[in-house]
Amino acid sequence: MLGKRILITDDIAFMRMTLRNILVKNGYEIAGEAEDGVQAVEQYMIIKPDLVTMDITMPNMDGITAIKKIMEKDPDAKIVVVSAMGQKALVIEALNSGAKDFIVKPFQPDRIVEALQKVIG
Amino acid sequence: MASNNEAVAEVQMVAFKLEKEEFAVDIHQVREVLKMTRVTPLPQSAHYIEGLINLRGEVIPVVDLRKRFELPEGERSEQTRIIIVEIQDSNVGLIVDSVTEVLRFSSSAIQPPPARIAGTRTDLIKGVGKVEERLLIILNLERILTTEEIISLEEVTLSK
Amino acid sequence: MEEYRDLFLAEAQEYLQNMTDCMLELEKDPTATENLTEMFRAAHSLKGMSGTMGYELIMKLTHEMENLLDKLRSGEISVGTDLVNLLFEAVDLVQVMINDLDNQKNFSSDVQALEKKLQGWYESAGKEESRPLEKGIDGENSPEDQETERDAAAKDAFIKAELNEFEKEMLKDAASRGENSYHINVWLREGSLLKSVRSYMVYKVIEKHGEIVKTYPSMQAMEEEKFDRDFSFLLLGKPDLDINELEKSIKGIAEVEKVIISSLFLEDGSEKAAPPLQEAQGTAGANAREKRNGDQGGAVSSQVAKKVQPSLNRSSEKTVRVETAKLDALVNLVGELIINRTRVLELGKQFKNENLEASLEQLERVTTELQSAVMTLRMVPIKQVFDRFPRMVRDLSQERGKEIELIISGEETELDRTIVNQIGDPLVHLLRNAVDHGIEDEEERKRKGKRPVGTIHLEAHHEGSHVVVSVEDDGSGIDPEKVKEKAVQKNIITREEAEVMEADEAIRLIFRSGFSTSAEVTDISGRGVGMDVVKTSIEALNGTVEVKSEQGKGSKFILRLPLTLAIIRTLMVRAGEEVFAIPIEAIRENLFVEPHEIRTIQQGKVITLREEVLPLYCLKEELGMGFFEEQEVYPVVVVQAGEKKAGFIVDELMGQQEVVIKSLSSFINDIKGVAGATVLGDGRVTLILDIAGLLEDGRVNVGKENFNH
Repeated sequence: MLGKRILITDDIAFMRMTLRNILVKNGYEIAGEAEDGVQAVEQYMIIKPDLVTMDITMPNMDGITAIKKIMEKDPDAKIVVVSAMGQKALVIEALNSGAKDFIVKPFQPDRIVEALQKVIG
Repeated sequence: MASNNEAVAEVQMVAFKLEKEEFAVDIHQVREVLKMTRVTPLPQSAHYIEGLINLRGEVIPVVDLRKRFELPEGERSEQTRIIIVEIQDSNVGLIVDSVTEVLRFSSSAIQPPPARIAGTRTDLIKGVGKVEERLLIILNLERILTTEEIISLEEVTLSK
Repeated sequence: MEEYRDLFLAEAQEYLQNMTDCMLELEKDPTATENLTEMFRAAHSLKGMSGTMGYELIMKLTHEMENLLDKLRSGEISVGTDLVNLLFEAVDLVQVMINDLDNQKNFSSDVQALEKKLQGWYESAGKEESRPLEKGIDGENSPEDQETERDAAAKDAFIKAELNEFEKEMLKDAASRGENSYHINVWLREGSLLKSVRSYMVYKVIEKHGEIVKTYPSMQAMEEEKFDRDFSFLLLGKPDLDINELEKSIKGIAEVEKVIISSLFLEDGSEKAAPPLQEAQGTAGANAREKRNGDQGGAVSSQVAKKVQPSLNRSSEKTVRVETAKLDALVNLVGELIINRTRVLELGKQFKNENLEASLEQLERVTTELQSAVMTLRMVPIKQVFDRFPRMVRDLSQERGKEIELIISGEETELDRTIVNQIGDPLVHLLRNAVDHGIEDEEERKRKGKRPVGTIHLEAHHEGSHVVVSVEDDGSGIDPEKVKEKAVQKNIITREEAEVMEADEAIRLIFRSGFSTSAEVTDISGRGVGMDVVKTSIEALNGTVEVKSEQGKGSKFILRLPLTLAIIRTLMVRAGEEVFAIPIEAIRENLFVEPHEIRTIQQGKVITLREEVLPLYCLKEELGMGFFEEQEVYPVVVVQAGEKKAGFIVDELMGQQEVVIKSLSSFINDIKGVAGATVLGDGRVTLILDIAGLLEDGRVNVGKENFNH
């Protein structure tokens, strides 16, 4: 688990920060931060992170489209969806689009770490 | 079939009427004769196309022969018939005033269309059959039904 | 929600059909107890299903049926026609209730009355107690900690209460095919969020390993998050299922805390469906595996002892289930494609270019093949129609006081779904006729030296690209002389024609319209109730009907039907006196427009629909079949072809219908706006409109860009 490189995608800086803090504290390396789907796709190709966290509702390009684009380019990409409560249908769509798992806001550190561990071991 | 003996060769013709004229069509070309039935109009088609009918599941266009020959629209009566003929592998219905009978002609009783009768077009007539005093005109249906030119009754009859 | 309901409907229908079939068998042979068992299972399953769905009245009624069947099974009461009639009454009521799921309350008095009747029957038979409806969970599992006790209870309820006769039978069948059944129980972490999505993820993972037969709680409850922390699945595993792998993948899902996979053993006659405990480590066998859950001591371990045969290839693995709605969408699209192809071919001809023509030919060939390939996807067994006939013939013959045996064969024969749906009525006509007029009453049969019981054969088989369905009876046959007589009376033929008419031809007169009407129940010819209707509806499907009859020996009606058809889903509209079919694909919506909503711009009518200005045309007028008439409200069909949108005023919206596309004769030049024709059930020809063609016309050419306000 140590040193796994993560790309955080969220349009809200506060959310990125929270997530970053949780992940760094648990030994992950933050390889990049993206503010929307377009940036996420771009950065993914450059950084090739071990895992991407992906917010769903974002400007420019939403998370689901970004998942599809990334999966298209790299079918082995490991993406975890970050969802708010009440986004059930979207989460299912994201899972069907290739996301490996999902985490729910507000963040609970242990649950996030568990989810990431299950996905990237 | 028994064409090895030309002398007794016989042709069967379905005879029908339009106005006062008598016409005939080779029985081999006729699939069947129906009583007048409901016809679904077909928009934007030639004026003489009455529409479509359902013949055992097959959709068949029907031509009003009166309208084809620029005659006034006749009243449909108990005698009105639709003759289903086969033309170039597809079936077409012809609305006629009545179907009179099936006639047998010996082939010698059929004459080629008379040339040089004013107003008569020999390309539209295959021949003329004679039974006793009656003269029946055998139409060239292929020609009549596949051209869009206007044809008047006079052009397909002998009597003027 | 709808999905569950559809599934419920489909399965309930199957169970009702099962019960009906069995009852008919049972009536014939009261000693055939396997039928009783089957019925009991069906009633039980229906009860369980309706309970899960919350249809309490159906549950109550099927519960009483179950009780009665139980008494029958134990021999406390015996089978008789009256009892079968009573059970049929119950089946019918369940059917009616299933057809009207939204108004269950309306049936409460009916259900009550019937409940009493059913109870009365078995109580009067002497014995007392009916089995209680709510199945108690007999906590025979040794309780673990408080948590797992509840889990165990839930699981026990699942296995014991839900996994009854029927499921057990199903699992046994599966086992005989080399498939093992597993009970998979999954626990989520405390306080897990979006649990329904979690359960969905688990479902998706498990689904890859076999067929999920049942879930607990129901799928619907899972979807609605009506569970605490655990849920379970009953899985028919693929023969090569690797339990380790399965467990690992489930555990790989976040928030999954615990997974218990137990193999279900279903020995013959064994009432025990609970998994056996197997504590030993490293059991022999590739897939066998012991599995414990640390401090969750006493958790049930799993084991696979049945021989697993990975080499067993099941054909079901090569098939996919597809929703019919998706299939229909595909079929409709192909229908559209075919219609457009015709236009493209026509346009292409104008260019007289060899290469273009070759490509178009290729296109024509490929699209034709595509169409037939797609159409084969719609094939269903004719059983779907045949299934209702045993009951119908039984009831009819009882009414007529005749004894008739219906023998069905070839019900597995497949043909297009539309054809299957549409041959029901014609077959009902034919069978009814056979019962009413074909088969003689018992006395007459005896007098003729025939077997007193009449026989009707209903048969289907393939013949090249056709399906042949025949209805044959051993009744009195058709008397050609009587048919002729009647045809003369009805002015269908003249007396002269009648005199020279051959017998075969005379018999065919029964198909002529006007020969008889359905009002005439007793018919001297022995045939003829609505035969013209039979003929028309079969011909509308591109089929033919033939009749063979021998006086005194019986009659045989032979229907020859195509396997597949070119079909398109349409909306039927009336414009003037004519009915037109508009392909659904071209329709955006239907509206009712009031006169004040219509404005005139540049001499054309327009309406504003959600800020979009649409040109409005009167369909009759566009087709040159009439003129616009003032009305209080106009039904309007909003259509679209490419970028062009428009509204067509019609006189009546008549509902959707699937129609068989018939091409217009090659004799007629292509008509702009007409894609083809179809023959409706009543035999009349209806035009299928080509919206693209209609809108292409210069006049009908105004898009919203031209009308910006």
